[in-house]
Amino acid sequence: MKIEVNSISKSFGSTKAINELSLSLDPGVIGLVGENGAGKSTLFRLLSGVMHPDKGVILIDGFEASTMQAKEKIFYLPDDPYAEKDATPASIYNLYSCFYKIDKEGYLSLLNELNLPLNKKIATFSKGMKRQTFIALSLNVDTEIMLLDEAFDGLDPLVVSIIKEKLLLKAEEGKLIFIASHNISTLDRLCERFVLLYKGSLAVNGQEQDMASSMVKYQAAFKGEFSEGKLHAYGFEAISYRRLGSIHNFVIKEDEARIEALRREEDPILLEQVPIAPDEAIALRMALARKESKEGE
Amino acid sequence: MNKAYLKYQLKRWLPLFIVMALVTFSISMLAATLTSAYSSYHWLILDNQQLVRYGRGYDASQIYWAMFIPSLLFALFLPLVGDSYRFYKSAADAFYSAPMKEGDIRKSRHLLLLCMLLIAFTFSFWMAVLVYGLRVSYVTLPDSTNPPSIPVEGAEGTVFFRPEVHYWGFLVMYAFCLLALLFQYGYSCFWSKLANDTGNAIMMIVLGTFLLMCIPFVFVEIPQAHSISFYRYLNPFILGNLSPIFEVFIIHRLCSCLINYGKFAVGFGDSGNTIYGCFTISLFLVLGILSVLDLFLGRERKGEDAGSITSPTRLSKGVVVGVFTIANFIYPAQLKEPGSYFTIIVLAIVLTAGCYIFLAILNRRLKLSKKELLLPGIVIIGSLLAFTFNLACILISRSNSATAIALLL
Repeated sequence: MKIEVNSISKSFGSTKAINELSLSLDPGVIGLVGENGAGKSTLFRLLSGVMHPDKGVILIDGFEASTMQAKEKIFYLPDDPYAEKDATPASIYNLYSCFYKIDKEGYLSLLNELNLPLNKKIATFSKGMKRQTFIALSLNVDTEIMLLDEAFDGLDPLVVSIIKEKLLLKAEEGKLIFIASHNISTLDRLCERFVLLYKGSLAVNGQEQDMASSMVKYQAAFKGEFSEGKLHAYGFEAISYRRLGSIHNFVIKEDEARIEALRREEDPILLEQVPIAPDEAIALRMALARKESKEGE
Repeated sequence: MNKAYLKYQLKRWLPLFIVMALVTFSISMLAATLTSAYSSYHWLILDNQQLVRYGRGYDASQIYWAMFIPSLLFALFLPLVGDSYRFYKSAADAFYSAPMKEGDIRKSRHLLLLCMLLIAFTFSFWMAVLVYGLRVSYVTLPDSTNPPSIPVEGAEGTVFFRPEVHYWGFLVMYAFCLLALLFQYGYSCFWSKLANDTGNAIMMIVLGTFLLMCIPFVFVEIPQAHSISFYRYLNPFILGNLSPIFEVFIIHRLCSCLINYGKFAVGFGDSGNTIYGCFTISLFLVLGILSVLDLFLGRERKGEDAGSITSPTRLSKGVVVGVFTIANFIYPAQLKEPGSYFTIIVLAIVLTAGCYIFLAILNRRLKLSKKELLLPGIVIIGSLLAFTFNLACILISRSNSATAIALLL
């Protein structure tokens, strides 16, 4: 099972939603991250065959994304999933089972585990309950690929942990689970790889540790006055800079020689490298992509 | 087609079917029980010999209108229900990503709705025919004590005959009604397919139907025209035939024609209307067949525009242009008096405002760009030119050339 995206582009009027994007995805849990408007939902709509790329090809296990053979392998859960006005969890099973093979027992048992009523109208559900219902459904759809757009939006931590557990089990079965989120912390300890989109282009496609590669985070305290401007003076482009009292936290691109110069010249009370948390790494990578894009312009 | 989905959707639409059947049935039954058996249905209950002897006009029957129009209105707007899966982004995401052949979802939904419509119509039609037949035979005859008959003055003196319901006539009418409903459904689907949301789809259906009703009026001349205006060849034609529902006339004429044993002119009255009849029937049949073919064999619209309030397509803008251009021809034709300046101004403003409103609905915003304002601008200038030209023609015809030339200048 493989998703291959070859130089696809998609525009809406003058807006380029996806720009020359190439990707190759294998089974496992993969996170799709990027700021709002980065093109995550558009990519999912292209992968699921709802839209067609203006340029390039998407192959799902060798079949073009818009073909029936490709669609049979994918279940796409959009950020606003479809349910008829009077739909209940029971009736959405009836609708979706027209198109997909769904494990009814598994669905009912997961609904039960999540304390969701089977015959109550979804329209009366909270946003989180509606989300849970559809995730319960998608977890029991028998397709090899799951595309989950903003899957954890509005869910409480307990439910998130239950669903993460189920998703990891699915991944162990050899499924490809592609989850888009702008809330990076929800993808923590779930995704083995991340795809970072920035303005429709691929910024990073790698593992969590790749996100922070070439970036270093420092915690420092100085005797005299210090500011972000001084970092610029030493030739650093701060990806992130924060000051809390006399403590300065900054993330920069790795450059041993310049750090040594800073240490020598400023004689800091404290200048130590601190680890970058996984979710922070993705956020920093997004900030870096934005910075590089601005420089490019 | 996906049988499981058909079954699911059939269950979902069962209440809609029941409502549809009840509405058409109630109106048909009302007509069948209230319609006068003699005055309104000559062409169905009298045979040819009787027609010749009776020799009166064969106007449209009340029962026919009542049986057909409710179903026709359903056929006009039911495609909105069928296309609703495209009018919301969430629905489009679900249905376009579902493993089905391209266009299967559209075909399944429309086929189901069409069957429901035709079944509801069939049921109410034949129930009404049955009630009507019973009434004619046993209840509402002119004189229940004497042998039921109508006295008619003829060459051989007064002739009496008993009217009988010719059910084959109803059968022919039923067959044509089915065709008309199928074609109307096809037309509406065609217009609805151009839109991405419910509001625009309603607008496209209304404009598209209006356009369809108007097309023949633009091309056909009427030799018996008597208006003094520039539109003398067009005016009576337009005024006489701007029917609310185009097909009603066509079906009625087809039925009249067949039931009168091919005497085309009897049904249409005069040669001008016969030309019009042939033209409109041909147009109706060709467009009907094309739109039904497009519905079941045509390409599906892509999912990307579904539910999105994007810029309207060129075609939908073209429909607005077409409708208002035709309106520019039609309304000045109403002008017959040189002193109607106030009417001119009001009609020009109404046309311009209409065009603006339709474009605003299409764009989903009240403020139009300068480029978009060009069309209402053309409409108001076009309207004023058409009105002025028409007025000048009237003045010329009244030998008031100086004022006419001044107006034209």
